[in-house]
Amino acid sequence: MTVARIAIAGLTVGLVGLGLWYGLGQRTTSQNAPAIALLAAHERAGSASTAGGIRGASATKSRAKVAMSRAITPAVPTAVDYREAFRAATDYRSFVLGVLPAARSGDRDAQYYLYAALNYCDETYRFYFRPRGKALSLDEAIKDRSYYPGPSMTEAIKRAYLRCHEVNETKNPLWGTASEWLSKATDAGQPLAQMQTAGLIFLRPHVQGGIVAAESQTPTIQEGTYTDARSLVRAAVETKDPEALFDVAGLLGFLKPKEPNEQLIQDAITWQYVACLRGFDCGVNAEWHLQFCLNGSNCLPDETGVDYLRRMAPQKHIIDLEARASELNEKIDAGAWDELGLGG
Amino acid sequence: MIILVGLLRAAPPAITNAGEKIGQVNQEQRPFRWSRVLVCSTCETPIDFRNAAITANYTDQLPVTYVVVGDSTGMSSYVQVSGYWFYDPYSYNQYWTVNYAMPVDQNGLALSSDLPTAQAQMSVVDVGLFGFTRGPNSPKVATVQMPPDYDGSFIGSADEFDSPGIGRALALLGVDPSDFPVGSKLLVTYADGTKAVFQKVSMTSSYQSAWDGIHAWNANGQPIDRSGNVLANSNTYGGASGSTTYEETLDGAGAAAALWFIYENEQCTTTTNLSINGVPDASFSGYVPC
Repeated sequence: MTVARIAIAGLTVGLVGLGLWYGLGQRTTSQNAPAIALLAAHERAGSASTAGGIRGASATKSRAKVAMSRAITPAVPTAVDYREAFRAATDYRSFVLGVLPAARSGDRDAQYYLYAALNYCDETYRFYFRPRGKALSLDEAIKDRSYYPGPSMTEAIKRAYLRCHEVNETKNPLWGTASEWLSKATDAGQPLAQMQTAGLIFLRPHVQGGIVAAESQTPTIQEGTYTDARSLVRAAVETKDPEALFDVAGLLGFLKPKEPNEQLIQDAITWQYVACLRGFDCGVNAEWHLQFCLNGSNCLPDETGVDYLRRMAPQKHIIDLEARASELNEKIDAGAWDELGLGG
Repeated sequence: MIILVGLLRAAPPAITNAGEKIGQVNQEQRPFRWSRVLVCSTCETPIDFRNAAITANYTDQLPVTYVVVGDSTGMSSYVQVSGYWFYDPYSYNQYWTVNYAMPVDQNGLALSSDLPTAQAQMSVVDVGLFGFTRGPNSPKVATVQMPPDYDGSFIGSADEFDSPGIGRALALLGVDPSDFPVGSKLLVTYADGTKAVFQKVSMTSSYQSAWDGIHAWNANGQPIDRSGNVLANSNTYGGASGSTTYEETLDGAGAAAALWFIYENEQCTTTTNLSINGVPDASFSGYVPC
């Protein structure tokens, strides 16, 4: 009798467990197909780079990692292309769920793109949907911005809503914060994370509070010096990652503080153009190009990012963009870092 | 002590002593209640600024918070200096001896020991004094008027609207926003006369410009927060008056700026007039710690 009861109880537990497994699997498969694909790909690739999940880094340790991250060798191509997955993602909740396991297991690219997704959602949520602390729906946000002159923000608002409303409405503390993942990716030597961290270190003395402070909640940024920031930029540029090269343009004012403004602008266009030539996304819908066009730049319909740069060059008194790009490319290919004038 | 002696023996930077002593002294109660302006033509590092203040303090012989203005670098620093009277039992004379000199930022915090970081901090102090960037890479257009469609006052404004508003203001001036590298500063004036310094923080995110969180003034030139509350000077005391004038040629644009410090009614005010090629371009006034 007792044996029969145990058998029945065991069978019941087993059936319930099977049902739960099947039900959850169906739900996950239907809602998070891209996430599952990323997860499976990550499992195939094995856990890349450094191991270790979420861990609190002390200020001292993190500071020391600025130097350590510089010594880490250039990014080894991983089997999972998180950059492309991030670019193609239209629902960042699925993307976040998909990269989370790899990020937790120490994949630095997964960590960086997890940061990128969470940060984009934080920033656009605050910018479009919580201005002056007021909660706005999608329609209200579009209406709110329609009163202002200049380029229309409607498409940007819709894009942000589509990507992020599920992230912002169902945010799970277990996902971690954007700052935490930026810190881990930077410590692990991810070049785009290094560039982002360097930029926030450069800005820190100039800005108190606001969006910059909100994005600077890491010991590396809080305690980093300009010398640290230059080291991070140098390490990122040495990887020759096209997106990191593009990001150099945004930091030239700090990297070359004594250069005249006109020269800085010309250098910036050259770095951006080189990044495009080396494979950075400079299409019509490249995120950077869309943002440029939202802020008063004279963009033309259906113009690509690279065409925009070519059109801008003569306006900035650059008549030899191709020659400048060729010269910069040669220095990058040759690893002539000291000739780039970036310090570090 | 050894370090201090070394500093005192260091070759003093070239200083144009444009300051004027003002007020009465009570050293025991208020160690840094005097403010004095120095112009230093060769100062580039915190040590240069500190040495300039130390050198001046041997003339002043009392605790002073100096405002040391770099001549052409776009950097300035506050330097707190104090000392004591050393009695020489052999000569029966007293000598003023500096025993403390600290370059600090606008919040009274010590500057970073990392030189490039400290120079960035000193450029922020400089913006607080002059209201625009004087550095070699100062943008061509440093002041913009917030368009009327956007916030009419800094008080109650928000970066979510000020950032595109600045983009719009530049477009109306025919200036491409990409002409302003990240780190550029803009003095934004509003319809009601309030002013604030904005920083270019990104080329590619939603927030391209943001208030620096440090510099904002009401229509009377008093420092305020974003709610319009007037902020108290960090070191106010006095009741005397005086003034000093500082003038220089800005790099690049053939511009000239003049800075006046007027110390009265327990507050220090600054007025800066900027002219380009002899044509008045901008005027700026504010209050500084003193």
